[in-house]
Amino acid sequence: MVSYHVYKHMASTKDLSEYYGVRMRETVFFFNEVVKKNKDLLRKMRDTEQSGVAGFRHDSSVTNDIGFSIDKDLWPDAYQLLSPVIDTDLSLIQITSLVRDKGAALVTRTLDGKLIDQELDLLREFNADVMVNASGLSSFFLVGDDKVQALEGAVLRFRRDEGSPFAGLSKALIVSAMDHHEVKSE
Amino acid sequence: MGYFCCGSYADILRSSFVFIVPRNDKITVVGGFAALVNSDVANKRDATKEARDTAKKELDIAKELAAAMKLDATMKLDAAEKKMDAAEKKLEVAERLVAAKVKLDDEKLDDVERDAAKRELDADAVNELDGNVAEMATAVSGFLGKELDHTKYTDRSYPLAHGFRPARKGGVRLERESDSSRIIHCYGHGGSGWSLSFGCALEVKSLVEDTIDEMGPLSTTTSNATSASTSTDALYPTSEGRELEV
Repeated sequence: MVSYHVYKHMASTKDLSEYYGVRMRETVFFFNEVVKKNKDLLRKMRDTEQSGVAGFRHDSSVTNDIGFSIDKDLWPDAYQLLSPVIDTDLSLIQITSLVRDKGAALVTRTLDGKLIDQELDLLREFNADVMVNASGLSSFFLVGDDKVQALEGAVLRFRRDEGSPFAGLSKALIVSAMDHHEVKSE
Repeated sequence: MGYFCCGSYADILRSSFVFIVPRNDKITVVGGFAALVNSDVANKRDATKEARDTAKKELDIAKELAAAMKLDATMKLDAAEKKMDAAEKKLEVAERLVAAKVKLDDEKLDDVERDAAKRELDADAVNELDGNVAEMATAVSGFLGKELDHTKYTDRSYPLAHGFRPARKGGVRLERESDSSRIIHCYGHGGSGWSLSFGCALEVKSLVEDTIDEMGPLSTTTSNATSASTSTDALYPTSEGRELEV
């Protein structure tokens, strides 16, 4: 929840919000059963509610005002909260320039073999006391961690102009994969 | 792709199978988290054999699943068969890679293999007609309760964004390599990088500070260790240990 509060603060500050492309958006989570009748769903909702998120709401009006109609037989229950929405293209540019402005020198190069075998050489080369391995997927090689794996993902980008099925949509809509185990990431 | 919606919980979004998020006045992004793909093709230089083994295993599992589900309802059977198809497709890809590998002479194996993997990846490049994308669109249709033609009304200049999440079984690894090391690991955030960013950064910061407190700056420890440049002994602190602190 650390990031949530940082983004919330950024979104509420006009300059930061524009500079990093961060804003809060109402996000609705839909369920195909009544949350309060399912032990696990209820626990998760209570955890969410008590985690400090802003704008939590769980009542029958949640599904109204989302810009189009939702079949209430199919999705009898929903709750909403405020989620940060981040323009990551913009954020990354600004974060990079922030790092540069603080005096960091960015070096791009490929490391082969295990990081641990090169630890001392690298530390000496850059006159460093500590190094942080944030190499993501490449840790498969650099650390030899075979738990690292790529998960594929894709999003379709729809226009919101007239005629589009998403014209007028004002909230973010999420359906949890409660009974879709095959798409769950590990 | 330039977009992220940060859930209240890291795992809310990760376990979601449909999300529809208005990005700005012009664009709404629609997505789902599709099945695990062959990370081998994207990552592993020497993965052809492993990929085949994994695919075979998955195929076996899918077959078992299909067999078990046959006893069940027809709908469940469909799902299992889809899984089987996916596993078969993976096996096919892996076998094609293996076949390509056999043809190559040993000297150039490394480079050519990398190219082969890349070609394979290009050949499998996801577009709007990809099976997983169609499945995702079907899931969205199911949610909306009406047909969704996912090739219509898309942003013509950029209809589909596609990528790999840097995931790790068991979640993020955020720790020091070992007590004698100055490496701090922070990887495996999967689809939750932005959600976890500030929290992880703070933790990295304290790990860095702890490491320096404990081991001292490198310059003071290496001056005595010229004869042991290949050994990690040089990384051990030469001054007081941490137990002397408060």
